[in-house]
Amino acid sequence: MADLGERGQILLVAAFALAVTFVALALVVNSAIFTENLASRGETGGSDTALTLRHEVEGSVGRTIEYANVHNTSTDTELRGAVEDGTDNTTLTIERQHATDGAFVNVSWDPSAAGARTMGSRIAQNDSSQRAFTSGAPTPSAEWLVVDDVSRDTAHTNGTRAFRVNASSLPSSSGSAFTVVVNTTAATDVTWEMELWDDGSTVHVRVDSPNVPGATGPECTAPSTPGSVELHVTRGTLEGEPCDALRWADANGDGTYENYRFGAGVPGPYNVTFENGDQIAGNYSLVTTNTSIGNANLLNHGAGSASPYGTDAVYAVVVDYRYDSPKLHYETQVRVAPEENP
Amino acid sequence: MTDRAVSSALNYVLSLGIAALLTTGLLMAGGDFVSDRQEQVVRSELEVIGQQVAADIHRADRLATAGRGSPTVRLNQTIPERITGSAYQITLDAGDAELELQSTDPQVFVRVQLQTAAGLRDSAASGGVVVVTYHAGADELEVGNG
Repeated sequence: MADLGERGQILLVAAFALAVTFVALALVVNSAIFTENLASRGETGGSDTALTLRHEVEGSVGRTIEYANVHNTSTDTELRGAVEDGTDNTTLTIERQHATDGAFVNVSWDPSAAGARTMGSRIAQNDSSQRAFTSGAPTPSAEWLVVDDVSRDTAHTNGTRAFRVNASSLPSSSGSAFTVVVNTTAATDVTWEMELWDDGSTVHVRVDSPNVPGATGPECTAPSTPGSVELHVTRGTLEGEPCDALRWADANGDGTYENYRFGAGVPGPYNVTFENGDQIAGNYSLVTTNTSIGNANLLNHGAGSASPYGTDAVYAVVVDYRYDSPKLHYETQVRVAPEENP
Repeated sequence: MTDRAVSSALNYVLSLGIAALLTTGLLMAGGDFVSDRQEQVVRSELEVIGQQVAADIHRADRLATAGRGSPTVRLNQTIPERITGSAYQITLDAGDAELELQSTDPQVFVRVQLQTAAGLRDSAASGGVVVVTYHAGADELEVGNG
């Protein structure tokens, strides 16, 4: 008779081998589950934070420059010191805020480094008497050279920024429109023009660029508000809304967009001239890279408080920005020139 | 007993033979099944790691493009050293603008396309800590181990 006790051995061996197979399968399944975990990991290292902070730094340092250009212009030392203090404050605030997230942020400005700052001048009229945009005393004229020899700061930048107009009264027809003319000082005349007028119900801004010669330039409009019209020429906004005529526009409807920004197509150095300045009244200010408005060869300026006046100003600064977290090390320079459009 | 057509010895041989055959068949199928699954898991894990390293390269590219002058960018990430028991290698191919990942056992090959504004440099890294570095002078991104 067969020995009943010996019959199950093959089955035992088979079962043992299958068990080993199942253990191997468990390892594979464990790997698969870990892959899912790996795949669901989000953005680590803070690279998005580094970029957002860079933008914040640009804004903070920009506001420092604007404040210094209005309030600390008596000497070059005072101007430089104000920007230095402002940058230190910026870095302190941001550092503290992000230290709790495990990131080290540092903004520093070395005024003695090459290219660290571009000086310029600020030309402004901010009389409370709502003066016309004519040149200064003793003989105000409606057509006058505001600033000459403005050179573009570096490649892909402009030479004029923060050009703001706050008008209390505007000319009533396009024929007598207030015109800002930007033309080159070189032999061949290349001109960029902006016209501003109010026909009673609508404020119009029309721009002609040398990039599109001959064609009618684009126009942007806004409902007229009596007493105050705000136009940011270099930023490209009319009454707070984006104005395509001062940015990129497709004026002739052929599908291609052209650059109509301030001075687009005019190579530096260029002049800025006002025409029909007697038709418009209010306040304005602009910052340019020209450092010599106190010279006799420039017309109609006086450094001082009688409008229009010119003062030394900071046009642009280049700060060093550094972001350090356990997973990211990022160091770069940031050029700050508020309200500039290349 | 003597009128049975089959002897007990043959009975045993037949039973044991059939059982052995079934068992061997089962084990072979089981072994194939496990290695098949292992290859699938290795492939999907390589794809995930490849996408993560590619995302890091794109992040470094964004930071480098937003920078001015000669920016410094160094991004690191920890990835598993071995996947399903197999070691693997990550290669950045500048010519084809792609990441190639290859595991040693089982041999699986995965490619991830890259699209960057900055250039790429031929470089390689293995599992562990992977560092993406931007070289401002040559305007190139490279991977390595940190």
